[in-house]
Amino acid sequence: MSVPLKDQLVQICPFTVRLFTCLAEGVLEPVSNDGTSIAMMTPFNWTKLETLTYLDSSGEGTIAALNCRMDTSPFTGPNIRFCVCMDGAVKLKPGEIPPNNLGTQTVIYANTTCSLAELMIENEQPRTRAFQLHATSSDKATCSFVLQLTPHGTQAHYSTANVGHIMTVLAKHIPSAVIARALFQCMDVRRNALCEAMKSSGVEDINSRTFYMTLPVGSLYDLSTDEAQQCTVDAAQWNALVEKTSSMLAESHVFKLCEAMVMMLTHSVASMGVNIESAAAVHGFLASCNASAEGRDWVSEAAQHGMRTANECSFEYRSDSQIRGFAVRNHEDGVYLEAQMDSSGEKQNLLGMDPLMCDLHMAAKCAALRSRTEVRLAHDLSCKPASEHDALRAKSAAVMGRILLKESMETFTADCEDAAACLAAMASTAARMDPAHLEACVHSVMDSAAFSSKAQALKPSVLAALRHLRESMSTLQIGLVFAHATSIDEMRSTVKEVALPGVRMRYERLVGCLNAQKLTGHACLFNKRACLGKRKLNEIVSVTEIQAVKASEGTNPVDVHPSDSQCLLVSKSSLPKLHEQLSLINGEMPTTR
Amino acid sequence: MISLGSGYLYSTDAQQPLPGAPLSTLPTANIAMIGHPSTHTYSLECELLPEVTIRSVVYTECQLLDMVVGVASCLAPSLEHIINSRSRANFLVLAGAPPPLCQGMSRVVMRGRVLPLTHFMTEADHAEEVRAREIAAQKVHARALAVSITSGTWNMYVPQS
Repeated sequence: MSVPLKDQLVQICPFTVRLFTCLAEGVLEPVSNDGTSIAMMTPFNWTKLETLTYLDSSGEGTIAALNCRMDTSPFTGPNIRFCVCMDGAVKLKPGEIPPNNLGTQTVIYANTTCSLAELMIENEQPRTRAFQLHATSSDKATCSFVLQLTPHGTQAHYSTANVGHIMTVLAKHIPSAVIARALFQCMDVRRNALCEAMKSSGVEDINSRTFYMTLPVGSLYDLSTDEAQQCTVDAAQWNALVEKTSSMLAESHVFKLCEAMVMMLTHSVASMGVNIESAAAVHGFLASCNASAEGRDWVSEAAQHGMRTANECSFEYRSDSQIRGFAVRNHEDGVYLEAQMDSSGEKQNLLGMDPLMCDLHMAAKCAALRSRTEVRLAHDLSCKPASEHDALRAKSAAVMGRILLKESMETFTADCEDAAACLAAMASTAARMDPAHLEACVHSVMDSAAFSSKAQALKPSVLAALRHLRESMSTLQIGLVFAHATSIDEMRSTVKEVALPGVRMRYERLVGCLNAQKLTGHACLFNKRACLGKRKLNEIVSVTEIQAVKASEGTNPVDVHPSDSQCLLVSKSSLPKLHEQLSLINGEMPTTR
Repeated sequence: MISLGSGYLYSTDAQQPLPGAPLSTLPTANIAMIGHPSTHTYSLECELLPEVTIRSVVYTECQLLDMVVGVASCLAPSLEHIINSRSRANFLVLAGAPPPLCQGMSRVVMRGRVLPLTHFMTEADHAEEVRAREIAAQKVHARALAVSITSGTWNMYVPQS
């Protein structure tokens, strides 16, 4: 007998949701920020939901009922993820979306997870009372949000079949905080193993322990325990996260990879005298390049250059994409949160892509602003004298123009981790995605209206080029330079005398620069060019000698040509502080004359 | 400190800095030290742990990270969403090529448009914008060239002398 369709679905009841901010222990105030939105994602069935609900000025909204198919095995991990997104524009005005602030750099996120059963069932009975979930946020210091959910289930939501599905999904639930705590302990084991191994090589514990670099990934990966400070990952975990996310999102990276390939053909291959509109010519040229080591280096450089140019077009470096915390503004009509910027906060983005949540939030925010501007103009025209109408229309048109511009040319605001992770993800897509699937995705992208006819004509050449890049793209890895979230104050006292030239002198100079706050963290893409055999130091740690790496700067790409009189590597910035940092990070690099 | 992939980099002096002085092994202080003849640089790679027990169930650390990525990836836009949103927003890859001999010119990355935006832009509208950028560049320098990369970004090449 076939199972009725309704029994093949798990039905999730609608909810009223209220968002509070925690002002002090036990003191909750509803968040009034205009345009605050919330989405409920259901990772248990691997679906990317495009649901979004706006909260009103009392921080309240409704999440609609949802039916999810139950024809695949549920995902093991958190069942449900809630994401909150709001504009934390500086100088918020109650009830008004600021037209000059349509960027994403002041967006505030909050995340929380729960099980499906927690959402709908209490003491084995249908849940009817409100319950609260703590939400982690991009605030560095504390979990400052509380989500209050009140379910509105009907009899259908508690049918035998539905409760059975809820229990099946529950069996696969592991709370985020539990995963985060386990990962934190893994990191601790690894840190001890590395310090132990280095001690036997004569490295003092303080040096290896202090420089066991970790970085925060709290808000995107929701890797936060209840203890606010324990939400960093080490290099092994960060590298695995980048590799796994790149692989999981390979399809989503194809759009930018196609842009990068077009740039590679037009900027590098064409200048070698190759007819880039002929796939056969491109194939022949790249095949001959791949026949020699120098040629392979050239191909790798050309592809990286293309990827950097594609990145340059779609996002710009702003360290203020990192939000340190929120200022609470207590207005007469409610509590508002404003983003506080800092240059050493945490990343907010998804390997160089706006998270769907933020993307939908900004689209909805633009639509709301457009509609409010129209209503405002109609109102003003009806009550102001005709002599002022032209000025009112011009003012309104300016706002509409800004909205259109934002929608048309949104440049993703990203920091160096994003830029580097995006380059790594593009390289991983080119190197590892299933070739037939990659080809199908390239067709979808390059046949779309987002590519001009001139660019579309290069599609066969792009496909030919991608076939030659798999090997050279596989050696690219993300690299992090200097410590995030590391306090090295205690190191200061260990530097007692002027060191002899060599490794120690350079190291102590680095410690001095970090203490003087001349350096924070930086990330870029590295091409690991040569390394000698791996040998195990203990069960966890192994060692490889590195003979050469080449850094590929993602945030501020600058081309160095032989005709340039003098240039430092490929990293320089017009921002003096960043430029100084990059110079210190690179050291004395070879110059071109 | 530099990490590369899953490894932390350490450097050792290739030879004694001064006679009698000890050789040092310490975290690598900058990128230039890697491959420099005066130092050897090593990557200390730590493996993910094979066993992590949660509520009596044994997972690998790799599986836990899969869970983290699985939950985070539901926040990512699909390729279809990216194509649709780019197409709807009048974004266009224009595939401009840099001029020959651009090595002797300074490249300036320009963001934004010269002409006003309209809701529905044809390829001819984009071509007009490309021309407007060329004219704008020539106002900066008579021999400057504008190369349109996309509808939102273009490069201006200005002669260095």
